[in-house]
Amino acid sequence: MNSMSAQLAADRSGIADYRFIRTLGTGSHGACYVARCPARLRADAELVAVKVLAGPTTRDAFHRAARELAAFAAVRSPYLVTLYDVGQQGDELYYSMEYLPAGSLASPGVPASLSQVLAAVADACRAAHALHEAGVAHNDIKPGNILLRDGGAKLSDLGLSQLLSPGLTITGRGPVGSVEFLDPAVIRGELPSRATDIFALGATLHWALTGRGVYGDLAAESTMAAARRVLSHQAAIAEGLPPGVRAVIEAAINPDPAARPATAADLAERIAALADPVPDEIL
Amino acid sequence: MSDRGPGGHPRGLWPVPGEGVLARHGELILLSSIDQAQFADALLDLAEQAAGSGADGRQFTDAVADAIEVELVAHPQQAGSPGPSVLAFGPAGSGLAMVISGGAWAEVTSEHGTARLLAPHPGMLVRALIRSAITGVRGGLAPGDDDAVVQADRFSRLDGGLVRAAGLTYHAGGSRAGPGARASGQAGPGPARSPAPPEPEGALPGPEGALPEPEGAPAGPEGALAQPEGAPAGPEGALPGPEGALAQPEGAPAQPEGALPGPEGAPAQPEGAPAQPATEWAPTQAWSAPLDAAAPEEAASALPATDREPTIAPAPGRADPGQEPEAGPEPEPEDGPEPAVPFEAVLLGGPGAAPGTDLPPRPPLPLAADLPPGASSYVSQAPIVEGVYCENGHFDDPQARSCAVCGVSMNQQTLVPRPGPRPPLGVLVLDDGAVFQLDGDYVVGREPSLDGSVASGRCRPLRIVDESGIVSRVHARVHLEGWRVLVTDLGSANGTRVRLPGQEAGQPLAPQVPVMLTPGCVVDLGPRGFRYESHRGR
Repeated sequence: MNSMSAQLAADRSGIADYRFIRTLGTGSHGACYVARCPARLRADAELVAVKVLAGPTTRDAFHRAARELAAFAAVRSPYLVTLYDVGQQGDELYYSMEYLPAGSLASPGVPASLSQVLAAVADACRAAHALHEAGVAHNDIKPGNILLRDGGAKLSDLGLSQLLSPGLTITGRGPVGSVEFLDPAVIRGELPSRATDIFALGATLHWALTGRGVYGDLAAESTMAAARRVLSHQAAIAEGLPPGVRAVIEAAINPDPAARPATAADLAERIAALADPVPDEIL
Repeated sequence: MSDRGPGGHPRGLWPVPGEGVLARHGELILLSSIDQAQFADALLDLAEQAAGSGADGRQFTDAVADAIEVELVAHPQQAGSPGPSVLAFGPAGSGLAMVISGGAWAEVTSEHGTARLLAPHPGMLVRALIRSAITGVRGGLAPGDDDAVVQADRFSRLDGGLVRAAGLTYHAGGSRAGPGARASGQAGPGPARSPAPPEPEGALPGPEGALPEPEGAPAGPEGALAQPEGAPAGPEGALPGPEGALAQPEGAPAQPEGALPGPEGAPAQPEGAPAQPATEWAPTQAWSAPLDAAAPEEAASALPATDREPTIAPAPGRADPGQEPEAGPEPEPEDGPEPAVPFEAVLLGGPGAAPGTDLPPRPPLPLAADLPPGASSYVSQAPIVEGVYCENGHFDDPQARSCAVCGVSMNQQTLVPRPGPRPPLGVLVLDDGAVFQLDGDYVVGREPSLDGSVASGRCRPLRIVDESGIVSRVHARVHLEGWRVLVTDLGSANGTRVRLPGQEAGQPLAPQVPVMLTPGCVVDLGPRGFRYESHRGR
């Protein structure tokens, strides 16, 4: 509730017809807010999350973003966050989506148990699969984009920054950087694909279970050094994971894309299979 | 109507003893139940802070409403429970802004009479904006409290701080700047006047008037909604439909009872329109938290608030001829925190948007196993360059000694250069960790879009934030030529330096002279910079 009080002092109270209630987070590429749901959306929600992109946006960028977000929104999956609208006010671009109050896998409202983590990542796999089947690669799968809900999660936030800043593959200055979840092949220039998203899902699972990325703890490094490290090191799995979990992650981040699970749905099944017999105390 | 109020005092706030808390900070007044102590604490903090930051009643009640809303979402009440009982109000313009939730109620008296406001449904919250000067407010925390029960303690006036209370009586009195000035002129000094004169014809619409009219809710599927500047917009903010025509659902939305009139009564009522209610106030927003299965419907059809609601309007002249002319421009309260600024929005999926978009469905992404080796998913629009294929089918720089993708040694004698799409040549890693793919040219600077090559689409903008201003708006260009990556200073004010890996100091670039980058090179643009990374050329 303290954030409510802080809200009074917040310098930003809204965009378009969204009235911000509090800030969810800020980064170098924009800020995310909880806002009231305007009636025109006819959405079954009181609150929505609104992302406001930093910096001026051209009309072109707005139309590109609208196209890409429409492709994302057209994919029907219970595991994808619902998008509401994308808009431009002045030269500022925003888009709004479903607000899930339980937080993300990166910063859950309450610490997630092993089975919750497995369920959440399995749901993210299913969401990614739905996107892939619709011809869309997500390309920004990471713990911060997996939003928790009862018994699972929803995948959020298409890598839109790349559209607005063409060529951008990693956004800087995230609380949990994207760099360690991105298939190095993408950093080297390959286009995002099923296999690169599957890598990210595997790296995300690793982080959520161990608190470390597959390149070790990059938090202490400068972001520039972190990117360099990712480019010059092989991904490695932390010791101490149960063998079953380890095998699944190993497969997902295999340097050879063809050796990874063929689809994100396959990965979801393998993760879900882990959840059944594995009691929480295994960690 | 036995309550005569605590007589003998020109203005002030009197608590009704009971199990709640009444706080007053300046003219901001909050009455809350305390069964959820943490939440009550938060509200009390909020009131204090609002007063400290000079918030008016509107900002204060906005914040209170937001807090209640978040509380209801975070801690859904059991079905049937009313949620926290809260009554908060404060001066807004010449009138009063108010919010009510849970079991709380209020009676607001102005020169036009007395209106009773409450939020009768569980999880409901009613917000009201009373435009005319008010003379008094009475209120309580339980809907059952009525006149017989609510007796303010005349010997415990609250001028600031907080006390235990279950209700309140507030007299605007004669000395308050806004409402008071008018109230004193028309209604006489407070003490002589009962806060609740029974004036039926002046009675305000009950809380029902605050409920949304679902049929009148704006509908506008995927069409882009542009607001022409200065276009008239009714409080409903009617939206154009898909083709830009006014989407007028069944039953043109009647001006809700108690809708805001224009400032100073400017808008002329269209002929035949219902007479404006005498009292100038309006419920500004009502909603329900989803406490049970039925609630979301109410929420979805929430009344488009007149309060800071967007003015999404149909283009003039495109309105459905059957529609009554609207009463005039949306009254924008002069003390509103932000004016309506036009915006454009495209609905995406969700229940409000039309199914399907103008996009043809895309084919599923190929499976990794189905991709021929080396035929990675490089962009097909990549420029065609002369290159060689390694034995694993990766397309490489003819000068390379080993494949940039798989590292296999290249026996150049046996490889004949062939044209092919150029793969990305690596990445630029910004000092903030952002990574840009080198499959195209970039202009780097604080405002790279000012460069003609960006405007023409030939180069991409790579925008760098630099508060110090040392980085020029258009600072440098990174461009690809064949298999080489070049950087050029574009006549920046403070210059560009290139540092080879391991070097301490960089070489300054001459303006407009391209210099080749090798992997690991750092390009300094003053306080900011980036590094070129690639597995190629090693």
